Amino acid sequence: MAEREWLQLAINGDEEAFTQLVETYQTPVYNLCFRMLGNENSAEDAAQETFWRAYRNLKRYDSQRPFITWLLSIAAHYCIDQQRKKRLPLFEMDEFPDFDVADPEIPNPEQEYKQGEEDSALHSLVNKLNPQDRAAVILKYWYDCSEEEIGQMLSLTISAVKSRLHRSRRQLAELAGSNDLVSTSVRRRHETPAL
Amino acid sequence: MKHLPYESWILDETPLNEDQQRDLDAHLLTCPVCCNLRDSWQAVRQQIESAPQKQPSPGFSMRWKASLKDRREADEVRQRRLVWIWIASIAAAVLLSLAVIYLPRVSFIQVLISIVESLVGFTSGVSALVKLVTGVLHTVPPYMLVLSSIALSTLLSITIFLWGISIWRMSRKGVTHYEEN
Repeated sequence: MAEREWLQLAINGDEEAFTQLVETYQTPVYNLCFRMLGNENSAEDAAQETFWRAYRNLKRYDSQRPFITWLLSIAAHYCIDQQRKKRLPLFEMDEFPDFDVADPEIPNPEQEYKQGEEDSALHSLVNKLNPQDRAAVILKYWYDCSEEEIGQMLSLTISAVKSRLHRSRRQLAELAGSNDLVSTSVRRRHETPAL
Repeated sequence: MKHLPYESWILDETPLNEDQQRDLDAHLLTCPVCCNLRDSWQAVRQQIESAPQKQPSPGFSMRWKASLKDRREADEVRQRRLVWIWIASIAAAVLLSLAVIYLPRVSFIQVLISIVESLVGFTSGVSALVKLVTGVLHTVPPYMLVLSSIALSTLLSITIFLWGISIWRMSRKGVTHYEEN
């Protein structure tokens, strides 16, 4: 069944149809929340809340816009609010690496660990941006959104999006330079698997 | 050394024409600041673009579906609370405006006197009504009393019966709704 039909059924109150939409869009919504908030528990809560808000306001959805754009816009606004509310930095247990016995179902633990390390380095960089700038960067580079789309999603003018992106790129480049990300990223590309 | 417009060309990612590209390349050969900026930004961009999409843990949509009932209930509680807050606020505003209008004009003793007067008036009104009813009951013939009490009890029974049916139908509808879910 096409997305439009699921949507129409969901708008008419069909819970199963909306669950189908949750199934379809869970990854992009969760990924946005994870990139914005930086830990799995908060991302899960934020993604669940995004779908609940979408479900509750489904009648207000403008069918001229792609459904995923609407969902991402709800998720971005929710995460920005969460970030603004969070004044005190909290340490989450998930942020510390686990040293449990290796799971045999994971094909390459070393690769998983490396990926986790890179993710955490990337998150600590992106985390330095203010929430709205961070949302703009995430939508631009992870979701390939145009400046117009980002503007619609974050309720900003196109010139505001452009200036936010410019400021964010500069900040990220400066932070990366000071964190030695450039040499690390070059080294990672050339290092041997044993190292 | 001037870094404009080179910084903007590096950071804005706008397509450059041939002359601009040549100009930028020449500048980068001589300017370590802009060269660093370009390398750093390209490294960050590469990292962002190579990061995979994070997947939620399995069963995300089932967890969402399972939480739906609780979320609905919490939402209803929130709505109800909101309605009560509105009612209480309106009542408080009305009382406050009445107090602002009337309190400066009358003293506290006068307020007490009028409350007592109202209570006395209410009780004397009730006793007059009781007297009137008993007077009517004494004048009406007994068969009229029996007939009117039968009519009254029949009307009451029908009302209670209809009320019971509507409550039963509403509760049945609710059960069917949750069964469907």
